[in-house]
Formats: sequence, C-alpha cells, structure tokens
Amino acid sequence: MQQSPLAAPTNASHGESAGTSPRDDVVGGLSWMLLGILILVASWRMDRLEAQDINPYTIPGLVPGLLGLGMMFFAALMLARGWRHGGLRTAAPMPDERKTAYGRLALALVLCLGYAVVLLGRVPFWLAASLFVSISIFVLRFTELRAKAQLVRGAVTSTAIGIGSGALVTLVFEKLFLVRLP
Amino acid sequence: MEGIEMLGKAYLSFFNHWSVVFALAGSLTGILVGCLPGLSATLCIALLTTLTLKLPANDAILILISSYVGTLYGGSRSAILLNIPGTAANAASCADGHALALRGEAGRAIGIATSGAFCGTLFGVLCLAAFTPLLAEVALSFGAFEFFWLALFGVVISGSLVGDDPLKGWLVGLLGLFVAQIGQEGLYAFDRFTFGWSELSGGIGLIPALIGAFGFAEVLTNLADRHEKQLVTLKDSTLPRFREVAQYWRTVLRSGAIGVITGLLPGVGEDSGAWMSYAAAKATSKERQQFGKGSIDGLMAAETGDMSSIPGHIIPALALGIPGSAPSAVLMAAMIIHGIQPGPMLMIEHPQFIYDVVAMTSLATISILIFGLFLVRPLLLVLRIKRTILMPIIFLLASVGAFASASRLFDVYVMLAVGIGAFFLRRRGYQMAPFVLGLVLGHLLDKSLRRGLVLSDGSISPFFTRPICTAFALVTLVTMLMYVPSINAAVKRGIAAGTQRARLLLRTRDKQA
Repeated sequence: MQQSPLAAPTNASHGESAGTSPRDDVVGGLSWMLLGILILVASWRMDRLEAQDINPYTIPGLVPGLLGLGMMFFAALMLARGWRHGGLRTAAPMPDERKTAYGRLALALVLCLGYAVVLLGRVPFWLAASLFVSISIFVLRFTELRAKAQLVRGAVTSTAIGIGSGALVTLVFEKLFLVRLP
Repeated sequence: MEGIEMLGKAYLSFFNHWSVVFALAGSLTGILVGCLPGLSATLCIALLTTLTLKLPANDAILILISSYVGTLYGGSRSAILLNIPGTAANAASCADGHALALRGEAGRAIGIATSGAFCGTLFGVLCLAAFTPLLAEVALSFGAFEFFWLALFGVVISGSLVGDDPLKGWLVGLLGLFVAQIGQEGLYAFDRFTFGWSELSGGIGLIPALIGAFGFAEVLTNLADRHEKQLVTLKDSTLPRFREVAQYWRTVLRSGAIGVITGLLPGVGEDSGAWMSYAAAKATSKERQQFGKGSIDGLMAAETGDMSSIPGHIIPALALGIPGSAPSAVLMAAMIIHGIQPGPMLMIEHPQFIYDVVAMTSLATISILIFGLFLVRPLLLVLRIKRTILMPIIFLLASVGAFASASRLFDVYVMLAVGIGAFFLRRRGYQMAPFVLGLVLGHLLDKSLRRGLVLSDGSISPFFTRPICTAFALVTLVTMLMYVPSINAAVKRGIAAGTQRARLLLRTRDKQA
C-alpha cells in the first residue's frame, strides 16, 4: 500500500523498504538537498554559449537546473516529514544482524572491485575470470567449509568451477558470439 | 487489411528452424534466470543484448523477447517452491502458489502458473497486434510540447505507483533524469557535467547502468543477506491445467486486460499488473476466503496479470519510445543498437517490425508452453545451486555485459558505481524503475522542453493549452497533489458528498416517477 509523502514512513522491514525510518528521511532529505543545490549551482554556472549567439531558451543548463530545483523541493518535503516524525532524535544502535550483513557486504565489495578494477584489463580475461570466481567461491564459503572440515575439497571445487566458468565465458562470448572481452 | 498482410508475412518469416532454436534458447535462458531469486528480467535481457550484438536484428530481438517472457514465467517456480518470487512480478504468486505447494500440490500450482502465463501472454499479444499501430498513429501528431509532458508524466506515474513511497519514487526519477543529462547535450553538442573527462562525453550508457542497477546491486544484496530456503518437493503432475482456465475464464480475461492496461503505464513494471489482477480477482471471487491459503483463482489471476503486462509494456515502447518497464527499456536500447529506433516514426520507417515483434512474442509464448509441458523437473535443479557459487559467476557475466556494449573498461566502472549506488538506495526503500525511466527519458525531456520554448518564443502557455498537453499536465498535477494528505482527504470528502447527493437525487426522481 502506498503512503502519502507527508505520512509517517514505516519501520516495517518488507522487501526493499527495509530500514526506512524518520531518521532515514532526515539523512536522505539532507543528501538530496545537497545534491539538488550542487546541480543547481553547476547548471547556473554552466556556459550559456552567448559567443555562439544561441537562443536564450536553449541554454544547456536550463533542464539540469530545473531538475536540481525539483530535487530540492522534494528533498525539503522529505526533510519536513522526517522532522515531523521525530527523525532528529538519537539513532538506535545498529542491530548485530545488520552489522554482520555489512561485514559480508564489505567482503563482497572487496572481491568484486578487486576483480573489476585491479584484474580486468591488466591480465588476460580468462585468467582474471578464473581467479575471481575461484577465490570468491572459496572465500564466501569459507566458514561453511571450515565447519564441515572440507577446506581442501572446497578449494579444489572452487578452483574447478572458477577455471570452468572462466574458460566457458571466454569461449562462448569471444569464439561463438564474436564479442570482444576486456 | 495491410496490417493483417504484414502480420501474416511476419509469422511466415519466423517459420524456420533457426527462429525456433533462438526462441527456445531465449526462453530457456529466461526460465533459468527467472527461477533464481534475485536475478531479474532486466539483467537477463541486458546480458543477452551484449551476447547477441553480432546477430541480425530480428534474431537478436527474438532471443531478447523470448528471454523476457521466459524470465517472468520462470519466476513463478521459486515463488511456488521456495516462497521467494523469482522476479518482483511473481511476488503476488507466492501466497497461493506456496500454500498449494505446502499442501502437496506443487505440481498443480506450476501447471496453473503455466496455463495462466500462456493465456495471459497470448491475450497480451492480441492487444499488441491491435493497439500498437493505432497508438503509433496517434503519436504521429505529437510535437515537442506533448513529448515534454509524456516524459515528465512517465517519471511521475512511475514514481507514484512503484514502491511504497511516492516521494522517494519522484526523487529517484529526478536522479535518473539528471544522470541522462551527463555528457554532450543534443542541440549544441555541449559537454555537461563531464568535468573534462572525455569518456563521460558520450553520456552514461543505458546497458552498463541497468546491469549495475539490476545485476551488481542484486549480487551485493544476495551476498549481504544470505537466506537459503528449503525447497518444497514436487510430487504431483506439473502439466498445464487448461480445464481450470476454462473454469476461471472470467479471471483470465479480466487479469489479461488489467495486465495490458498497467503495462501501458510508463515504468510501472510487471508486478503492478500481477498485484492489481490479484486484488481484482479477490474482490470479485466467490472463494474470497481462500485467497492467500492456496486459491487457484488467485494464482491464476497473478500469473495471467503479470504475463499479459509484457506485451502491454512493449506497446508504448514501440509506439511512443516510452518503455513500460525496466526490461522493456533494455529491449528498446537493444532495438536502437540494432538500428531500429522505437517511437512514432517506427510505423513509417519500419512498419513491418511492429508485426515482427507480435510474431516474436507469439513464438516466445509457445516456447514457454513447451518448457511447461516437458521440462519442469530438470529445470528445477538450478534452484539447488548455492548463491555463494552462483553470485560470483553472475558478477563475471555482468562485467562482461557492461564491457561488451561499447568495448570500454569505463562502462565496467559505470556499472560498479551505479550498482553500489542502487544497492544503498534500495536498502533505503528507493525503487529503481523510476530511475531507469528517467535515464531513458532524460534526453527526450531536455530536447522537447528547449525546442518547445524556441517554437513558442519563450512562452510556456502552449505547454498547457494544447489539448493533449492539458490532459497530460492535469493528470501529472493531480497525481502529485493526491499524495498531499489534506488535498487527498478533501477530494475523498468531495467524492463522498457528490455520490450521496447523486443517490438522493435518483431516489427523489424514483419517488416522483
């Protein structure tokens, strides 16, 4: 069910709305306001191409500037909603479950960024892909494998899946569908 | 008459073994992706777009449409067996589908989902064939003023209807519109917000951005929240139940129509079609108390509604160049890559293509029926793969997909940035559909506003006085104002008072008669 922009935001954790609270509205409102101001200022300072003698109604900064203004307006509404529903009060401490989730997220980010920013384009694609998949699977399953005392078996399986998927993706994309790879 | 001829020609052109192979391969890929919770139709189509770059246009689009239909159909499997919707569109199928599975009738539920999906898509295909040429003809009369409103209306409606909070929908829609402004603008090729970075001059690519928003963000979500659920065992027959289609024919027709109508609304997504069909079925059903506890009527409504919205989403994408959902936005981008520009001029430049799309969607519908008849059990094996194994492979494919669209590493970085941003926005209840629509419509909004202002010599009155503009402006404004509590309450009071007065008037007239 939809809610009014000025009604109290829900704390219920369902689907993608999980974690929304009046405090989130205050933080979100401030962030959107800042972004809106930045866009508006950048649009205002944008070249108006007067030297090219263009029609003044077609200056490049017109639409981005209006979008910045729109963002500021809705950000103000969000801020007002958060403030009205007590969003300025001290935040509750982060639950342990959320902390664990952020830990897993950090690990996933390190693995993905390591592959995409460090490996991709610097080593042959098949090698980068195989390394990424093998290491990721092993690291992500490490706790489970250690609990089952299957670390060696897990390492072998992860390597096999990694090499297999690296080779298969290279073969299918580059050889079969003639798509260039990084 | 000419339309029927072109439709016949389209069907004949797909009567060859390669088209059948492509349709089956696309549907199969879609079903497998759809079965896996978290992987969306958008990601599937975006990845397949890059894989099919070198194929002829019609073959590539056939694969993409088949995968679109397949993903949404496949999503019902995990909704029924795991109680996790494979895609957002299958969420409405969870309650009744899983309840049936828990009663030992998982096969029956899958059979109903297959028959509902088949009938729903077929109903949508008929509407696609009938309404796309008509809408395209109307759109030919649109000018800069109308297109400005159409773009704004799309983002506002999408922001209003998707998710729980319209304010967040509008903000994220504005963000999408802004991101589309990055790079060279369309009138003077002036670099906006590029900060001297030459790679940004071409703008933010739609495919890398969508792979980021729907692929990388999903990988991060799956790895951050690891929930492995117990799979319900399949004991009974999974064959489609066409006897039940006949029994619930009213539900099928009503849900089909609701799906197509919601599909026409810009950026609203297939889940709205499913939920609205489900709500309508619940409101009119004789077995209302069974809803949520294993109702056949409810499951049939949800599946028919979400599947019929696919052709519904393709109608505005083809006729107006305004996608009805995120997957249809990628489909549109793929058409552009293959040299077909969707929009009002399509009916003049490539009239045959509209009918080709009708034939492709029909072929995709038949393909899912084949897989529903013969390959339900083997395809369920994919549900047993652990996410910790699957997600690195998905990210690998996402990185290849982002790179392959323009062979630039920069696009991989765009995918990463959009993905991380989308992950955190989604955690805070922001939906990605309005962002995608903003990204697609940003250029149209920008060009239309500035061209309109030149045509009117700076006057904004044509934006409000031309008949179609007035209608769009009113709907957009009313949609937004309806979310202001005091106005909403006043409107509801007004409607209630008006209804009461009308009733009194009718009663008095009856007495006098």
